[in-house]
Amino acid sequence: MNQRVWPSNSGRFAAFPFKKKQTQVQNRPTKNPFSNHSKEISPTTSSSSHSKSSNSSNQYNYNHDFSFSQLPYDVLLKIAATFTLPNLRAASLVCKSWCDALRPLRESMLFLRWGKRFKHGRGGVGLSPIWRKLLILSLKELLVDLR
Amino acid sequence: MASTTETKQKKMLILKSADNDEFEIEESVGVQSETIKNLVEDGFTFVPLPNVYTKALIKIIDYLKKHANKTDSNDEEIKTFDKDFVNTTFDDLFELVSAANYLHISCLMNMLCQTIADRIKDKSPEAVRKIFHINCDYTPEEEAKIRKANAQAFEGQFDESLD
Repeated sequence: MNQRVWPSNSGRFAAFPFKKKQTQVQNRPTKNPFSNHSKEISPTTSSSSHSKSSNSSNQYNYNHDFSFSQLPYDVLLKIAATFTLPNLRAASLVCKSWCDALRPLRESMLFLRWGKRFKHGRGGVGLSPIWRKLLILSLKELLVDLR
Repeated sequence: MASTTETKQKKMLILKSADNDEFEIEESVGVQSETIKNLVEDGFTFVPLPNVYTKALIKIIDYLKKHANKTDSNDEEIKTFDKDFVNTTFDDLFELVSAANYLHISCLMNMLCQTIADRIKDKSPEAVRKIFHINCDYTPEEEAKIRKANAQAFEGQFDESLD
């Protein structure tokens, strides 16, 4: 049975795909496809009736005609959020777009380092005690954890 | 040829992947994704996902189903499932992260980002380039300049492996 649950080739609305895609097999049985998806995914146990083309073994592989340097900045920032400064610097060396994407993280790491240095009295921050106290208070206000 | 979904008791959604495969899932499962939730609230039951491939979508639907019936009792089970879920190749992880980002599934997003971060941490820029399929667009002079500026960051402690 090749009964479709919905007219599948005419979407209610269209969107442009990110990636170019070669046309894939169209005659996949769509009757409750999810229940037997585990069978469909491995070509060796495929019981479906569609003709096996020569590339059927890799029809579910991704085609990397775009590179992950185009990973959205927010995703990249999320990934790099837990990095240490040396990690960040290494990642920034990967390519230019990463360098741009990671700039805010690198800068904030530097500020944090200055703050730590200041608190522990290193780095030659020559301030009178009253200014020291004020700066520590304001840093506490900003919830900066300087330990 | 009326829609077969009408006969079912639960409200069903149909997701269509970029490979034109269709998946039927319960609405309660689908609405964990913000993108799908917004469409459902606008009255759609057919959701084309032109940026999500079948292979990633299958895994994501598995994840959503698992997390849809989350209770206190199967907490351990879900933890093991998550562990297996992220224990895959980098290509899979990035495809999943793109999909999760597009679908706005925040808990999956956090988990995947954390996993990727843990796995590319302490790797050399060269290894990261290979993992991400990135071509270096720095000129050798530029790269040498940055390396010199960050000299303390490169003391040979990087991991060159690609897994």
